[in-house]
Amino acid sequence: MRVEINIKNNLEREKDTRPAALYRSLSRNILIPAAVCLLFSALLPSCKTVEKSSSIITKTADEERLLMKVKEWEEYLNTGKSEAPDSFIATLSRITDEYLGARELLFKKEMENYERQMSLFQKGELKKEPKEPRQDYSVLISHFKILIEQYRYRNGADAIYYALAYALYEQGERDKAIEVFEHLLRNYPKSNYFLEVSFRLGEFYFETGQMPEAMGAYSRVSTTPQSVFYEKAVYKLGWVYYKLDDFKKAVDAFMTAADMERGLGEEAVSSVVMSLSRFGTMEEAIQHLRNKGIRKYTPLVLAMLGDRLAEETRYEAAIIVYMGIQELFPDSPLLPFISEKTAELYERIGNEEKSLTTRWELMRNYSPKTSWYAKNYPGGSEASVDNLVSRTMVSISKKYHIKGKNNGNTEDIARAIDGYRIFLASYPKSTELKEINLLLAEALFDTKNYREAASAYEKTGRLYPEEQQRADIAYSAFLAYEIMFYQAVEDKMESVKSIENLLEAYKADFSKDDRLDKMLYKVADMYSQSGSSDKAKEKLTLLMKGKNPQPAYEKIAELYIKEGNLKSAEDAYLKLRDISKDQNSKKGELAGLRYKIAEEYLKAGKEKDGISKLEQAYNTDPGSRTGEAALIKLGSIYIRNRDMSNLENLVNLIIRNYPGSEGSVSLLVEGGKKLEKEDPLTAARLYESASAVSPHTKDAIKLLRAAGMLYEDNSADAKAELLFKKYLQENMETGDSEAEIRYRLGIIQINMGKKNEGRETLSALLEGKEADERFSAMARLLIIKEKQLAYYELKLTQPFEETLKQKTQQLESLLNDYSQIAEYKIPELLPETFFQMGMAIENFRDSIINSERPGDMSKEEVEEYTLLLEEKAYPYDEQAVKTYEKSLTVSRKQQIYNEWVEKSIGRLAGLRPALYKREFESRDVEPLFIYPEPVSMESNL
Amino acid sequence: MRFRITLFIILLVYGCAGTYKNALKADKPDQKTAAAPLSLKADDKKIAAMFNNGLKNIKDDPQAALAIYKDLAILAPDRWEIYYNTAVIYIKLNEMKNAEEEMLRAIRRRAPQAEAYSALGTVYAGMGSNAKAAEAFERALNHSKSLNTLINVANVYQTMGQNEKAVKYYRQAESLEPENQIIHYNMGILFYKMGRLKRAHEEFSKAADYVKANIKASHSLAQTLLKLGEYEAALNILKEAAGKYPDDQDTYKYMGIIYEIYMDDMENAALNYNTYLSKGGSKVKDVEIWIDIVKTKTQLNG
Repeated sequence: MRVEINIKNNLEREKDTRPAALYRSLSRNILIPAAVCLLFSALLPSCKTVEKSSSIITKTADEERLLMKVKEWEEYLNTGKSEAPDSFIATLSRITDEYLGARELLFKKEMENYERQMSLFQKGELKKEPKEPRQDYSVLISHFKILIEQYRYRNGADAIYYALAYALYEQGERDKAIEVFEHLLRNYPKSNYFLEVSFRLGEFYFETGQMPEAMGAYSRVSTTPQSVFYEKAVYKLGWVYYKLDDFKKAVDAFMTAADMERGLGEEAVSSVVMSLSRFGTMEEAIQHLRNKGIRKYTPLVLAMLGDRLAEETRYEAAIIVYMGIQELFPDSPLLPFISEKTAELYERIGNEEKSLTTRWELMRNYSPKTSWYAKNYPGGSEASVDNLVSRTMVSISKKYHIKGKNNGNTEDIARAIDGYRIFLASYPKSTELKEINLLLAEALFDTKNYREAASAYEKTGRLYPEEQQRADIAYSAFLAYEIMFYQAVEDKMESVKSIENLLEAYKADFSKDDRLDKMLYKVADMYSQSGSSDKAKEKLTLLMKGKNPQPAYEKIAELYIKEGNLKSAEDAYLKLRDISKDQNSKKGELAGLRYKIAEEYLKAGKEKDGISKLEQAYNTDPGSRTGEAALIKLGSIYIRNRDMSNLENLVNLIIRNYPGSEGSVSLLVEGGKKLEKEDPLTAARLYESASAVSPHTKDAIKLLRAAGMLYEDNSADAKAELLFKKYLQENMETGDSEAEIRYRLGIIQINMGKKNEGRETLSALLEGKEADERFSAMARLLIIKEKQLAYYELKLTQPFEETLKQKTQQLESLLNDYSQIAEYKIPELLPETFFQMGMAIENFRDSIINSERPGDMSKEEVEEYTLLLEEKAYPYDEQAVKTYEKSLTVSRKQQIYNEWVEKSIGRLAGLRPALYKREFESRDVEPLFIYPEPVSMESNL
Repeated sequence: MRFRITLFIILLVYGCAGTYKNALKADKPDQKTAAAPLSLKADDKKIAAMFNNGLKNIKDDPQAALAIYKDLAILAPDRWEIYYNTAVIYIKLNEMKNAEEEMLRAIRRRAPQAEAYSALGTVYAGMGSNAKAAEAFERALNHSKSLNTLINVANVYQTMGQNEKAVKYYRQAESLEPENQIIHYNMGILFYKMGRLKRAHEEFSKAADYVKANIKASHSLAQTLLKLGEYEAALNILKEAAGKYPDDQDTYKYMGIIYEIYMDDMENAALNYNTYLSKGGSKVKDVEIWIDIVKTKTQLNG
């Protein structure tokens, strides 16, 4: 920073007060004659400023003495001419110096007085405005003009010329003064005043913008290195080149001045910097410096050049220069600062990445552990460097850390980790040690190096005396170990052990809030997952004694469940419920658990216990799915045990509590299926109930049908009729199913004596446009059978002929109807059709034989009448046999065998026993008993 | 020998002392036997050896086993196992009255109720005392629903014509051992008797192995199939049975009937009827007439 400030000051000085700087330098460093000094003060107003110093005024305070000096000079001017010319000139030269000095001091006094008067005037304390005093060298000028004419060839004449030029200059006659100076140079090349006057002329030309003339004047001085004006002349020559845009020569001139290491060293260096900054490219400027050869001040020049360019917002150029420094002077102590400036410039031009990498290099290359540091500060340290590097390390590592976190790039976070580690190794006594350790741990965590992160957290935790923060940090270590645990494929216990140690070390810190409990839960969980169930329970037992034991009970219940120890899990939940004083606490879990326990009981054959537990499961959480499942399970058991009474109660319970549940329907259907064979009426009732509660219309109708058919098959005709009617009302689909049900309904109605209704039902079936032929035929068959019953009822009474005629007509009609049935060509109906025909014919035969005898016949007549009847009946007997045989033949042909075939054979066996009666009854078949086996006695002794 | 006769008399005396009804009420041990003189007791090892010896003989030489157990009843009169096994031997010998007495003694000596009453049930069933049998079985079931008891009680109800109860118990037995063929066979018989031929056929099919191994069962199945109109299947069952039991005359008679009446195959009918006769079938007269009819039908059929 010091360097920067100097450079800046120098530049400002160079820009705004260059002449003043020059003369201050002159007055400080050069021993010059009083006349020369006076001449300077006359030439340049700034010189007067110097002479205004109070010390000078105090030395010349004796105004009287000064006036005496003036008077002496004036007197000698009149009287001295009488002396020998050389003596006169020598004396005059000497006292002219004193005269000029006295006049100058007196003039200053006058000016001071004038300024005071003026101040009073401006304040209104003086009425008349004072007159500004003016220096008046007219006497000297007039006399010396004469004297130079008289003594121009005398020794010391150059001094007269010099004094005259000075007075003219002071008097304001500058052109005349320059003429006199130029005359002096032309005519007195060996004058002691030659180099001085050349320099003054150079200054005049420079001031008046006459650069070629100034170059000539300065160049004359620059040939004489011994001259006190040499350094300034070379320096000014540099300025001339600069003014003429010849920056290389300017650099050369300024470097010549700088190389002298005299008073203008700093200004010269600044000027070199200034000139270099005007080069076309900075590469060219650096190359020029290299060509000139490396100087001691070269790094400084480049650093100042970079700073200057940066101030001029020529950032890229500045960066090139800074980079040049690093290349040319790899061991320069400036390098950390140069790197920092380079990074800043990269930031300014928006190249954040380069800025980051530059600082990254800074951090890596100039830390106390580097060779650069050892070379520059062997065995010691430099606070400014350490401050910069450490600050950079922290900031750059944090930046990489944040960047990595934001973009998810682990490489960035890895850099941050590197940075943090270098920092910790380089500045072990830093006040930021804690924070950096923590950041390192965080970064390690972020890069998923959980093992190292955990270790770093633990280490950091020990650095923090603060309880809360320490607890937070240690908790982070816990989290890292936790992740390690869950990621580990083998040896998970290593993480758990580390956590145990952590908990022991930071127990007091964790106890301040509820974290300890949470951690213990997690540890318990880890033990559980590692198969160390006992250790898990040990941890949870600790928590059970704590302020908030509920979760511990909950967790331990889970453990028991995992172990398969459901009973203990149930106890834990019950305890939890007691503690919480909320009977609904964990009711879902408890119900589920009880359900599982019930399943185990059932699996083990302990049905009674299983039922009891299922009931508990339901009662624990009655409205839940588990409750519903428990009820359904119970229902299944009841079904298995054929305990339909309980099943129906249970189904009612399900319907009440779970209105939308299909469980009730499933149970009823399942129960129905179970009982369909052994207890069909109950099965039918269950189907009927299922139909009533089924939410699906189609299912309900199917169940209705199944129930009705079961009722029908088991002679519960009234119920069957009811359900079939309902079925026909609700079923929207026509076709076979509807025809069948209609047919069955017709049968039932007829069987129940509702013959008209039955006939109507069957007629409706026949009228159906899409009625199935099979059911149409069956319906027709049924109707005919009804007709046949009427036919059977018709007895042959007297008058015989008349009733015979009726019966004959009915028989023919029946046989005709059956023939029509046959036309349906439904094979399975044919045996029945023929059987029924056979039966009708047999009935006709029997009717004839059993017909009412006339009342007025004798016994003989009756016998004769009976013989006649038998003769008349016999053909029907033969016809019946043929019809039954037809049934048999058809069945063989159609490969159909049913009860009607069997019945036909039965009738044939009756009518023609020799031909058809065959014994096919095996001996009485009895069920097999299982007899007891003898028992052993050994176990009882 | 004299000693054995003495024992027998003692057993008879004790056996006659108890009745079934008393036994059912007598849950406590019989005071008389419980107080048997200590002098009659022998060394436990000796008793065990004798008991096991009896046990070995039950199957092949039940009489010898019976003698051993009678001796044992004197040596260790408080051991129910002795009476239980004695009853089992009597059941094997079809001496049901004796079996009843021994089983009641076993019950009085605190034989396990489930097993003892179940065994008693079979005794009563064997005696044709179906009501008693049912009561004994039900009592056994109150203690344990064992498979055998369930089958037996169902059988008893079947015999008693209480078909619904029979079905109920068969179903319970089935739930314990769904593949048990005895259950299905018994159910097949029940359904056949009930005229539920399809169900009968289903149950017989589930007992296929047993049916094939038992000629009567095969006939029952064939009969069921015939009534169901499955006369070819019935014929196949009979053919299989004939292959397995070629000397069973009835099989040929049944095949002849099927061929004649149901299949109108007079040639095979005649063949089987003749085989029936050649195997020594008892219905000679009837079958000879049938053969004549078959011949006539053959002639008529041309």
